[in-house]
Amino acid sequence: MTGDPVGRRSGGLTTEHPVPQHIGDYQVLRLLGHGNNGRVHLARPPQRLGGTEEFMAVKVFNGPCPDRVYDRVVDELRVVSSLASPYLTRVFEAGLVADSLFYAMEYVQLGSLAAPRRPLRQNEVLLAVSHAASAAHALHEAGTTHGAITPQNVLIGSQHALLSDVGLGRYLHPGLTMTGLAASDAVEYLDPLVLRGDPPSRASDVWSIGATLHHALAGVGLYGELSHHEPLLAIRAVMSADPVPANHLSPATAEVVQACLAPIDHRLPTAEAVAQRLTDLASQVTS
Amino acid sequence: MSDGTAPGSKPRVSATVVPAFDQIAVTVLPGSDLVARYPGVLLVARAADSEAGDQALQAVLDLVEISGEAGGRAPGYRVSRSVTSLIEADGVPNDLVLVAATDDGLAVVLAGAGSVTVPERGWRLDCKRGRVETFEIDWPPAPLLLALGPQAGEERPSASRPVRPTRPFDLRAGVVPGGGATLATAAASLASPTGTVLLASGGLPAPLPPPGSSRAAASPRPPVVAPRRFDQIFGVGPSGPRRDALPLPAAKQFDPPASGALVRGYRCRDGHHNDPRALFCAACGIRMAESTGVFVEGRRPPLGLLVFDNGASFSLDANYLLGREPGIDERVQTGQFRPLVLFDTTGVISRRHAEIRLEDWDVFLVDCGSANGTLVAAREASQWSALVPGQPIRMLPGMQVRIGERDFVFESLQAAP
Repeated sequence: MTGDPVGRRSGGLTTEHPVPQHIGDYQVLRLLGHGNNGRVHLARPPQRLGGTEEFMAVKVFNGPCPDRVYDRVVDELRVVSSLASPYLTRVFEAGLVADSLFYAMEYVQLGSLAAPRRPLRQNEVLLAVSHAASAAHALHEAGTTHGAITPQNVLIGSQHALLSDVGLGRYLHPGLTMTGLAASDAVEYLDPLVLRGDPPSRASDVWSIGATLHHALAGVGLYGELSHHEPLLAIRAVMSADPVPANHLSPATAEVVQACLAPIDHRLPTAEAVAQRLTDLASQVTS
Repeated sequence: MSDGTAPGSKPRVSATVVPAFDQIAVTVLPGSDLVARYPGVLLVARAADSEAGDQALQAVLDLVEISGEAGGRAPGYRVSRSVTSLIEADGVPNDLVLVAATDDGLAVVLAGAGSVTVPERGWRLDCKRGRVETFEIDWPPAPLLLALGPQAGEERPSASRPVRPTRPFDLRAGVVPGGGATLATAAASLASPTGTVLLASGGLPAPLPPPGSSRAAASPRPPVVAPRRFDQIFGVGPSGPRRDALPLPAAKQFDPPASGALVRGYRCRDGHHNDPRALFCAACGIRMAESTGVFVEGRRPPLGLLVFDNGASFSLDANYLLGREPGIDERVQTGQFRPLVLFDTTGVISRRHAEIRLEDWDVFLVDCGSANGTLVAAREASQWSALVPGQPIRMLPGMQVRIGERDFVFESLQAAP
């Protein structure tokens, strides 16, 4: 009846695979990183896509995707891509290789808020998060949510920031509240109400924007240092403590963060309101 | 430009032979800046004096490497276009000179004090207009010097001597410190006293097979095929009607999702439906003793989370069927159970392995007669126990479960009874 001693194992990464040379007829150049529920590769698109883009970022999701789920995902991606917001990454194509879902989106060269290719000034961070908030608002007005806004998903373009990687995990794995294999600190950007089972909403995306802003400016998370290797400990820490903004944030910034994290009846009601507050703040920092 | 035949004006020299770039010797000149060589590309850049500068320089190198890989044998146009736009956007590095192979010559990018010269012929190209300039030149008839600074070529004695790929300064691939670099001509390369064929990493594209030979037999790579399904996204509208905007946040949200089963329990003062055994409200933490004590039927809130070893978390607001292929089960197809696919690299997880069932306010775990069993351990326990197939056990907060190589833990949201 008894087996080996109970203990943690690193089995969580047993689904790792080597980087493929091709994804369908996309030529893979290298791995860019782990996104929500899958891996993102830098790739050269095939000629059939018209040759408008030299490179694309191709995300391949973990695990199989049944055809009926695929159809829903394609529709969801089309809803997102039909929006007029300039702050959402363009997705060019979705498809199935073997049984796995992939999609190809524009490649943004200057990194993300989590790992920018060059240091960002404070007003650049404020504007980047403002752009991400505008993008989130466009999603909300179109009847959908992002569901997984983190500094990793706010990409730094040459003209403005772009919100990427709209959470599709809920279609692939119903009931999923947080995806694995991404950075295990992703839990600190998730509205605790969603962790407790509430569906993602305008309010939960606003919460995530606040946590993203906080991390990008303060350099630390709302719950202090979370264990990056022990997801369970990170979740327990988040569920048993209240988020506390760092005290070295400027009062004006801390106020916006607090307004995003507040209980729902005191929270900024829309992502657009967050975007406006951040744009105003950025102009004051500049002047 | 002393002889008036600047390479930038693209004079056609009939005798020019375009050699394979990666077979050409590159000599690194001493100095503390940076010389880099990738397949089809050679560059010299000013070393950064700050961490920010290092990062910006690394971004340029990454881009060169990526564009070079994508450009195959003649990446010149791609690389020069990409690097130019990055330098225009970033403003760094201050000084750079880059040459990259095109089909019939070289693409040149110059920024700041970067220059290319052919000392033997007195040719020279500088960046004169704006931040960064690009040129297209023929293969030079004599060694080409890449340098930073207006006098670099003249200052360096090596530039005035015939250039030979002398060890240890022959750069085949990589990034090294240096003050400049000389790209030999094809003739100089062939005259290398060492007789070594100098290849950049990644090498040349494989030579084309002779006509009529089987290409497939020569290539171990699998054929590149289009995805099984692919659909254009950008520029194609969704199929359904336009959806309504999401509702604005309500002041208070009492009700769990309408999908929750109806169960009897107590409501707290703020209206959250709770397990009758709970001492505190699971949603707001308020003492249940302060509630009105009315035993009512209501929608069941999620009973907790399954937290996997890789961080994936699933909300317990429905029954789950766990396994390698839970989708084959009729109860999944009819919606009674949600499928939770466990990736398996070891072959020990059954297609239908275990069930998680919600009954009233409790969570039960059942092994479905799996081939290799399901192990459980209470919170802080030191040993695993195997479940008896078909016999449900009630899951307690913190209980750990092991199926094949995957571990997960049941985290309750309800206060412990």
